Amino acid sequence: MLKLIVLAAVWKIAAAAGGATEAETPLQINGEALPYSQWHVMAMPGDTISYDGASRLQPFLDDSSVDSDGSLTAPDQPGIYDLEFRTRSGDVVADLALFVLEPSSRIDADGRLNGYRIGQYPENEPKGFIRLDEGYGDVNVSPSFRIGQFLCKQQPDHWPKYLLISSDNLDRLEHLLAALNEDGITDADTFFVMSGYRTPFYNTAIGSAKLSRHMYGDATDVYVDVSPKDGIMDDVNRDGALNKEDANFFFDYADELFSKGDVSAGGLGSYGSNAVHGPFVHVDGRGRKARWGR
Amino acid sequence: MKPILLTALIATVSPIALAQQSATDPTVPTIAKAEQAAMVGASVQAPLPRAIETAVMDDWIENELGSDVHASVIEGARRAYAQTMFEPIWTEDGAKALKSFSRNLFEYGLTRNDVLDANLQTLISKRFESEDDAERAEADLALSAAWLRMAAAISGGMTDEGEADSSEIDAATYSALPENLIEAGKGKVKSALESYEPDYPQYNKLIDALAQYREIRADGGWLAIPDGDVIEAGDTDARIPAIRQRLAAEGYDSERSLITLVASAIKAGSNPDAPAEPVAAASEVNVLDAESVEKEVNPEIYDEKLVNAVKEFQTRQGIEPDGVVGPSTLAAMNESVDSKIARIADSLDRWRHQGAVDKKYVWANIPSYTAEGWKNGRREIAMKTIVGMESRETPIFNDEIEYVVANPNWYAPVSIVKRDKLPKLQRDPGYAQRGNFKIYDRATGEEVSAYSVNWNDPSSAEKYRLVQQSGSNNALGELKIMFPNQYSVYLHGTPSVSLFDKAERAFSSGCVRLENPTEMAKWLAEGDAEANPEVLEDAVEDNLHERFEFASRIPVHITYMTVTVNDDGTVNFWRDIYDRTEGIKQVEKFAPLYEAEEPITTAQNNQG
Repeated sequence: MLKLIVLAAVWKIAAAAGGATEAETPLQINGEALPYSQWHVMAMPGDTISYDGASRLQPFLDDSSVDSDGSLTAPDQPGIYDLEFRTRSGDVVADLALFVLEPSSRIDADGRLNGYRIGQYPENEPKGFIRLDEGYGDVNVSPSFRIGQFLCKQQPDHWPKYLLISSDNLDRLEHLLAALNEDGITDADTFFVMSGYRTPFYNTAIGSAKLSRHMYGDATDVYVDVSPKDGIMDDVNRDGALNKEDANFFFDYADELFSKGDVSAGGLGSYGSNAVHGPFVHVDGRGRKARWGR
Repeated sequence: MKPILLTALIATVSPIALAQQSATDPTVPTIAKAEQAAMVGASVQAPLPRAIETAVMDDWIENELGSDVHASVIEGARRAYAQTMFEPIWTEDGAKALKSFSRNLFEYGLTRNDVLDANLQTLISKRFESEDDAERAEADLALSAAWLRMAAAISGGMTDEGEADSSEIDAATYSALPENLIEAGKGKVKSALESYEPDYPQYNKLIDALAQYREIRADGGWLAIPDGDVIEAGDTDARIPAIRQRLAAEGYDSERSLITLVASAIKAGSNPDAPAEPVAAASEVNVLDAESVEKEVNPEIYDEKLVNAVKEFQTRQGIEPDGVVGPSTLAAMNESVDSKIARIADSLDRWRHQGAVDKKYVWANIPSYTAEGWKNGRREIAMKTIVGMESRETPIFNDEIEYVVANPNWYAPVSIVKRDKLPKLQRDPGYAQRGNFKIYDRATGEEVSAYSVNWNDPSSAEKYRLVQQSGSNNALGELKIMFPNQYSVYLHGTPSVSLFDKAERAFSSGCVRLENPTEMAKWLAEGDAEANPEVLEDAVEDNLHERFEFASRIPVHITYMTVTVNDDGTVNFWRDIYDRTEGIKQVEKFAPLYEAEEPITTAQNNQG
């Protein structure tokens, strides 16, 4: 089965302190440089997590120092842990959410994972799922996004819940949000995620596409909803009207941004309103370029 | 920034990952049933949810609603059930509220039988009393389908826009359909539906008007007036009492006249100071008595009070308000209350299909011959319009105003040249100069003299372009307001300002002529940094031929509402000049006839 790979673009890390040498070298986890100091790591229970800079960094797991010399072992219990890397002087170099995945082998014959209905993947079953217990929805997976934003809209009263996210796609979303803010188009501190992860059960039950990227956590339907915050895409093209042109503007902007090549290839779609949602843009990290709706 | 090495990137992606990520585009066909069953995993255990799940996955909702509502409505319903693992949506409170609401659909101008094809009481009994799980499950789904049908009817369809480039309705909507359906099931049927109603101010006023006219119908409506001679002010006619009753039934102030006179007579007759001036008092009493007697014995006089009521009636029916009761006024009076109710319902339905409203928009309504500027739910500017004649109807559509042209030239369309200009030019080519037209050879673009053209040649209309220069007699007036469209229709002024004095103003070739185009343009320009009201006004007054692009596009709705409501709640029933409301459900269009014996009876009563 496929092991989830954390893919990351190479970026300078925003180190709070340290010498010039440290500032120029982003922390690498399992051989991949972190795109942001606030990010996430996924591992199976008991997996070895390697990191560079052992001579100058001390890992802390849920605020407890971990004795290690360049690698540490993921806890055996699936769940969300706080993984920090601090310098000797105590400065936090990286603040990470460590997702110890619930192995998909624990899905029972009925398609439930601890009572949460996953269903069955038609192909490419993920090796494990992020386990989300009550109260952990606010954990950051990147500077501007929290894990709870990507939850599937099923079984609202059931815990734990399970989901997947995609590092590639999160990188794209962060890029898009930062650029929109930098260009003064919006001062939103995050996007409204209309739809993130979907279980195969839910995806099928609502009549969606068989191989929807939402089932792998690397597709998100998003819009800007800040001014006013009312459940509808903001007037991001500032023409005085709220309509499909705002989704199109968002699409065009994202398309131009992504074409610069700073992030990995993926899908991009533009949608108008219907009975279930206002205008939105679909962003996914499928690994190749795809465009529709515009 | 360190560049990403392509080799390194490829190396980090395993072949399996690549296979995983080579998913197809979102236009993948629906999942096959067998695969569906596998993908959802085992059904829930509890009997009723299990039965609901079975029905949903067997496409019960699609089979029930598929041809009646848009796909996203069905998806929304499936979401509502899937989110809660197929727990039933409907509680007893919810089901009762649904049944109650279905009986009140007429308050929205909807007919129950048009919206619902299910007997709700039967469904409710099955849902809560049946011992068969499958039957109870189907009943819950059927109750949801009923609510969805009502939501679709009240909203005008909850249109799927789909991918943005295929969208037809240019406005955002937010429905939260799954959440609202779940709330309805708990009992909040009405509030869950109300979010789907259009929020046009006119829509809300029409709802009130509908209630008003349904009360009139409940009170018996009114009777039709028999045909007869034209009645003018001061005339005596046996139908006058019937006309008074007819107008009073619809709320017009037509009955006070006689009572007022009688009261005055009584008051004068009981004046306690009369004895002090016996001669004068007696004289005055005599005069009033004489008048009173005349009024009492002759209620068939067409007096001033009634004339004013008729003028008000005529104004609200779009008829020349001359106070003369002629054939067209009688015909309007004789429209039944049922027909008026049906017309209100028709206008409500047209608003439902207008799509969502922006904060600022222009509303040009064809039958009322009006154009209005609305902002944040308030009418800010209003003026008369002239619309297309019956043979050249103004089209009904929505668009966005992009720019205005001050002191425009008029490029006469070929069709108008053929029909209207060719005959005049054939008689006298000098018409061109008098009308301020320049003539251009379309092939060369050169200006030519009207006298050098053979206007008797039918193809001359295509060979030559007629361009009327801006000026006091330009067909477009001092300004035109543009929203380029397939119909070549726009808003503009006109030199024929006297036509605005008419009540019925279907004179144009399809465009909408504005009584005050510059005022409308200034209203549109408010808030625009460059094309602002002052700049526009200066250009118009200085006779400058100039184009002004608006920074923000403003929606314009050209509609065909034969019923509109004034700010004070009075209702207008405009003439159906294009015969567009023939589709209204068959109702008796004519009121029952006022019986001829009535006037005599009334007269006798008065004499007694």
